[in-house]
Amino acid sequence: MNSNDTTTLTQTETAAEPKFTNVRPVYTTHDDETGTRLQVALPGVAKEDLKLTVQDGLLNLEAVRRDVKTPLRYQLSARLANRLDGEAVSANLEHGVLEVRVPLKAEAQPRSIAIQ
Amino acid sequence: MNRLITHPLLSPAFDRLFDRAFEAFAPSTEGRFHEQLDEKDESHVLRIDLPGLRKEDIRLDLNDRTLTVTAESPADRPFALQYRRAWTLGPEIDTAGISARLELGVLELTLPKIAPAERQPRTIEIQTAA
Repeated sequence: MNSNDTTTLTQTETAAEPKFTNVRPVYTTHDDETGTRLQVALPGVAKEDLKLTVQDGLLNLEAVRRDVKTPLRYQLSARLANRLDGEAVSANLEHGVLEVRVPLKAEAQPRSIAIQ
Repeated sequence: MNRLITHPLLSPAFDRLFDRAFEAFAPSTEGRFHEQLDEKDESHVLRIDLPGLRKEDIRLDLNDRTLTVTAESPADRPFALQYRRAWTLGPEIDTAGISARLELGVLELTLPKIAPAERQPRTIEIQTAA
């Protein structure tokens, strides 16, 4: 059918895309009783070159680093446990480190119970 | 008197909340921090990845013509980094003009070159009396 058009479009995209080296960034995770914290080393990455998404319980990170000879593409994916609240993810990029916080869902948070 | 107790999570063990989904995705470059030296017309630029480090964690020393970079992350930084390297600078480097900046977790050192003596041909005007 339209296979010729499709081929042309694909080639155009390939030509426009600069060459990247794909890299999994160095990271650490730390769990506590309110949720979890993921710290990812992304040196040289500007905020506007960082994309962080959560979809269907999958956290996806993609960041492009342009200050090196061959641009790098940092990629990391993590599946969130069911008890985590994917709607309440917060993130902060500072000193070349991305910190992502994912709290537990409200019903999974520890509660204090008063004894009468 | 009321007594407060904290109820722990009801799950049997506090298992890891993140699972790596795509283990196979990653090429072998994992875990490497970058270091890059570029020569430009007027300077050499050295860039060292020090993610998570602050200015106070890094020391730069220039002794004679030896430049030493020492960096160590305190316990509260996200990544344990220990870095120490020394370079002997060639005679073309203007040591007095060395500058450093830390941005986005990358330390950038600019080592300016001593400007080469002017070698441009010059036309000398001939003065006349009249």
